[in-house]
Amino acid sequence: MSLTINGLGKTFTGAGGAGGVAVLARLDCLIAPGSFVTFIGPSGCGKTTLLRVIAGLEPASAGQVLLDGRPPAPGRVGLVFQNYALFPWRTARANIEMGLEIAGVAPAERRRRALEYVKAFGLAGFEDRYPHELSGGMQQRVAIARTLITEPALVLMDEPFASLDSQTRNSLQEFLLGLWETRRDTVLFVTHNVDEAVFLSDEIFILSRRPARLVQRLAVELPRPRDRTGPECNALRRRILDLLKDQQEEA
Amino acid sequence: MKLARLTPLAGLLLAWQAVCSLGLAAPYLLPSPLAILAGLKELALAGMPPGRLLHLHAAHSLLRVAWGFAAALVLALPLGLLMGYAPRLHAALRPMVELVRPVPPLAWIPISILWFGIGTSSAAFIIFLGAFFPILLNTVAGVTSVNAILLEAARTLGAGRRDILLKVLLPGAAPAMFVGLRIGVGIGWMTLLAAEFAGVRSGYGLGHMIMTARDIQRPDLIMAGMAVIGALGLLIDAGLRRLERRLLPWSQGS
Repeated sequence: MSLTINGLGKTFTGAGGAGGVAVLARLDCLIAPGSFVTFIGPSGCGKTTLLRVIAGLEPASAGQVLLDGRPPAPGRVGLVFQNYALFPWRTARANIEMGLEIAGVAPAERRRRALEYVKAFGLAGFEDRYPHELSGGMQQRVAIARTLITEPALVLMDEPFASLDSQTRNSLQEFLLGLWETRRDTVLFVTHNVDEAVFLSDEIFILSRRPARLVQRLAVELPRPRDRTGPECNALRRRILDLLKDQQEEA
Repeated sequence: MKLARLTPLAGLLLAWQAVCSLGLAAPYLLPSPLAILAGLKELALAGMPPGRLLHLHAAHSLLRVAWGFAAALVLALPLGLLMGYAPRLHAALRPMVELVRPVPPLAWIPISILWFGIGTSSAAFIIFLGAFFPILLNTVAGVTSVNAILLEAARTLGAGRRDILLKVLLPGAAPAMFVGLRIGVGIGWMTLLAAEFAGVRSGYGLGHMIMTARDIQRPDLIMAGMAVIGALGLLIDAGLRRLERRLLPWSQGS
């Protein structure tokens, strides 16, 4: 599925209707099917708003989001949240099943498929646990499985590893890449972590301060698996950090 | 450990018994624990008034509570769910709720006797009024406290209104609903007694039994009846807690 973003703008109007805060300013981009794209930008620049608009959780103020030329149908754009957003009353397996349940998949079939995901996501033995009984890394794996099991046309990830310690974050990055290399979902990943962006992405979009617009689009042509601390990654990181610094200094 | 926690209670009962045995309190004002125990036996075996046995009084009372509570449940849970979900409905109904809620259920006794006559339906109506508002308000609070991000997560999984209502708001509000149920049944149980004091037609009911004991000046039977009321209230609450732990294993505490 190719994603087209056409002149996307988002302005939050003030309570009195006066003024309003522009968060996205006419964003344009075209994302090829099966690519892993990361948006990075200064904190508070509107990255999360961008994902929420694409996911259909916020209406756009201007422009449009098209999947293969059409506005996305409900449930076709998956979103993985930073704080997992698991349903506390559902076990790991029942969380993973939620999307299938909504789609009306028969209980036996959705159970079978959910257990496949449980296995593939290293959650075997934990499928009957409730979210509060799982570690942060496991909770996020459940959340990713819950999103991917519905086979969304586009997968959005909003700083999914930001609440995890660095070892867990690194191992989940590797896990996610492994999944993506076999599945080839179109992934739109948001982070403020430069290392993460360089390690994961095919392309990195650098956003400006609010209201967010595209400052630069960098293709990462390094073969995977990438050496996080190798010279190529470091050079790229330096370049991105410089661009981000310029954004901060324009303040 | 459990036994140690009962020590103060045992101490109190012993002191109470001692005060009565030493003749420091008039038996017609304060019967001793042993006298109350004997009264309990009398209520169970001989009955008050004679022939009307304790378990039948309790069964009538429990039935009235069950009717009133069931009616409150059936109306307050769905209404609370909808009010929590639809702010406009909430805004429309709130003035009515706020107007009726502060009227004590007991203040409804005269009018309910006028409407339903003395008997099970008027008592059940009073219990309904006592149980309805705690269940309603706790359900509304439970629904509105469901984290908005869970609604969004459900929407990105394709959930429509019905899914949001039944698969997110209902389970999310369930712990608060249980709080409402426990408060509601407690208030219902308390108002029941007052409703029965006002009279019963069948001649059965714990409140009626206690009033009969008062009429013939038997404080031991009065207090035995009170003990039964307390014990049943405790059992009902324990049963609800148990049900909550079974139905909502994910929700700790509360």
